[in-house]
Amino acid sequence: MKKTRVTLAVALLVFGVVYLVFAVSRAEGIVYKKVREIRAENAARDAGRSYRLTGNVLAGTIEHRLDKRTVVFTVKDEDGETMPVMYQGTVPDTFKDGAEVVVSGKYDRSADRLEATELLTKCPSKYQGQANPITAAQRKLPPSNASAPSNR
Amino acid sequence: MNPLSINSAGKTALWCAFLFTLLSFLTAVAAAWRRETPMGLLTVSRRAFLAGFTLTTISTGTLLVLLGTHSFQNAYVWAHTSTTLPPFYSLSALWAGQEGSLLLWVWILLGYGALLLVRYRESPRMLPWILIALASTALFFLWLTLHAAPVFETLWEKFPEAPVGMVPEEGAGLNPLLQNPGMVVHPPLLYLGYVGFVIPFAFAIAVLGTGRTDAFWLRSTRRWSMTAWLFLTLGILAGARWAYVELGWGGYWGWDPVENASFIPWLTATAYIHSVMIEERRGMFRIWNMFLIIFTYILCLFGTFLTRSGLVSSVHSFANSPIGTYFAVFLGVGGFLVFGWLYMCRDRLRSVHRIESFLSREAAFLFNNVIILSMAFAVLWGTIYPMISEFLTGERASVGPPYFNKVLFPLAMLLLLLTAVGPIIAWRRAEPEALKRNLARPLLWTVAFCLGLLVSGVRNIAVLAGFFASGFVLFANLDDYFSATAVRHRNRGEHYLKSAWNLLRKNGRRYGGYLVHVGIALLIGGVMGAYYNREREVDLLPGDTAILEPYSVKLERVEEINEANRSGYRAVLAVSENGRIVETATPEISFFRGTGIERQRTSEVDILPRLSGDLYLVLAGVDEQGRAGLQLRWNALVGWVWVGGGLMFLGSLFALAPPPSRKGVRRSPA
Repeated sequence: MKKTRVTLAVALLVFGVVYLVFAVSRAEGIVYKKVREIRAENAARDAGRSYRLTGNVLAGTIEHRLDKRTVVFTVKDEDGETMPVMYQGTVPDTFKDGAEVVVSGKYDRSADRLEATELLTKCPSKYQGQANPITAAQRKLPPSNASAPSNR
Repeated sequence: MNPLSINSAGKTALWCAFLFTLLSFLTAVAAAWRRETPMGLLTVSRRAFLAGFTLTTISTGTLLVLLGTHSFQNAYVWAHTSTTLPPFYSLSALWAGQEGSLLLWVWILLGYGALLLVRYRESPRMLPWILIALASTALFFLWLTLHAAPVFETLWEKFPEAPVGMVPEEGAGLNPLLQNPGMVVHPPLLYLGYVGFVIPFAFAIAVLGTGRTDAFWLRSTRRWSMTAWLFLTLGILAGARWAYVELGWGGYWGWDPVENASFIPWLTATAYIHSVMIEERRGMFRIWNMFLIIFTYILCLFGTFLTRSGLVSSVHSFANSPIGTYFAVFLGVGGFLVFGWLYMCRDRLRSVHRIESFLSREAAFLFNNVIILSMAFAVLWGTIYPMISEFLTGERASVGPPYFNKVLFPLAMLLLLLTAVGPIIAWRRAEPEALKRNLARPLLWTVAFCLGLLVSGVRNIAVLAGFFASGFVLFANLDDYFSATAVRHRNRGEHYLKSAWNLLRKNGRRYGGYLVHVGIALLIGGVMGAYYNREREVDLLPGDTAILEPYSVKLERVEEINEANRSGYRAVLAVSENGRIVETATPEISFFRGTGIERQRTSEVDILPRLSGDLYLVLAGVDEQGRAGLQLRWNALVGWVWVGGGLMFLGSLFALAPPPSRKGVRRSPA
């Protein structure tokens, strides 16, 4: 009798946890989409959901607007397609032309722009494989360093 | 000596270490095969293992010499150091990159193994199996450092276009973000934690191999597990601390996959060090404990794998490398074999007793385990959610901090309530009356504490619940400790303080544990404080003032920084509290020279720490007019995270320390 009570409580707890994990991850998950897919999903009407877009900051497009906290730039995804992004907030230390970024937020149809609420930059260690002592010597500048956590 | 000869010597030593470890493995297998352990073979296996350790030590020393002498012919040295790097950081570059980290990893593994072999005298029957477990993991890592992530590679071996014999004048340098004491200690502490679980894991394998199923292995491994747990805890805290003071985003934990990768085995290890107490005491949960330690060890390897494979994108994003595949194969095959073996041995590992009552220490431990494992599951789920969602819905999606906070909060609250009750509740069957009596006082204190919070304006129900749960742990553990102190003081006539000290020293396992619990309660209180964090972003000209209650921050001037290795700006700020100047703060922004194709910007934050909260000041930028962009943050109660962490460290030391009465008696080697 006592044993069934304990088993029942454990089963209930486990069931509750699994439900919680499922429900919250469904509700909080943000999909990764490419530029083309984001535009397609919102072509007819506002899809109303948030996206994560991975790509590189197109060189020369970073523009600080109004005050320093709003930054507008263009992200180029792996297919080479581009989308403007507006982000409000302080940018991470590693945010610059060409940086690999993940931006998350809603898509604004009328402006064809991603209103990002989150901006993550990948760290410079991405260059580890490309670092090369010869080009470094030519440039009189050592290439980027390797394997380091980046600022966020 | 010629750097190239040193490099070859290191490589040769590593190869020899591999061969000796292989010899140790093979002889251990041969020894395990026989019914009577052949002592000759066992001696060969032990000595070969120790030789492997010695040679790896030489190899690691060799790499340190190369790093210390800036021998840029070595590709690893070139990629991670420069002549301008202080010597201290040159040596710490041993674990700045993948190749060196793996070498350090295997060196620690062999070191733990050697320490065990030197000290362990109890049961020679176990040793072949222990050696098999140790040597097989070591072989995998040694092979990685030789083949997949070679650490003794010259520049021209790594870059075919580089001329043979090339010696660059300058190395690529260490990432400035890593030039911080917190970052120097964080990786080795984590490794000491991760790798430390290899010893209990090896004993678990020996239990499966020999069929000896009494609780002896728990006594032999208790200190090893606790030590590994302590190092893992410290490693995680050091990483959090480093992120807080160095990264400039104001937080210390971001639910990043790599952070989670260290947190998940910490959770399972925490479950393990609790549930082994029931096996030791009551012979229950045997299969479960075996499962937990094997799972913990696999998760430690999985953590390394996750960090190195590029499987999930992370801000730590180490370069993608082929070693991810090797890890996947090693973990997959190893995990399958060990869990399969455990399943086959399940009949021998049946529990001696059963849980007798809902109200018992055993049941409390059971729920403790279920909740901690649930937390581990939830974190793991969130970490690999991109893969899960792709599998379930066809769309790759990921979850952020809100997921982790929402799921873990209720579980953490339940766990805290158990932490308050668990140490007090009796074994087997608790008398409800006695339990009520013991909990009444702490409950009263906690309610008073929460009423105090309510009166002082805390209205958020989740925050109140959080403080209730942590407060309950705090008061319940302290109450029991002080009661025990009072009893001892009465019975022995000792001074009250002496009684308190003696309890901690003589029953460190119990009261050290209490101290760890109190530390956890304070730490979670500190985490809860984040609810009251405030943030302001302002642009100030010299002479301007910004206010973040209760502080006002006046920009005195902006100074230019022009040093040998960096340039940048320093904002000189006069910080006043209630109109009185309390401190001059100097957050900086700097661009390190020679650290990349483009110069990397780093923020040097300035923090005014108080127990009520930290004023966290970041200089975001300086424009042409000399206007400084500043970020002012109020991080409420964050100091308690570090205070709580410190108590966890202290408590673990008491739990680890051998009781004084046993001095002179030869201790068990664990």
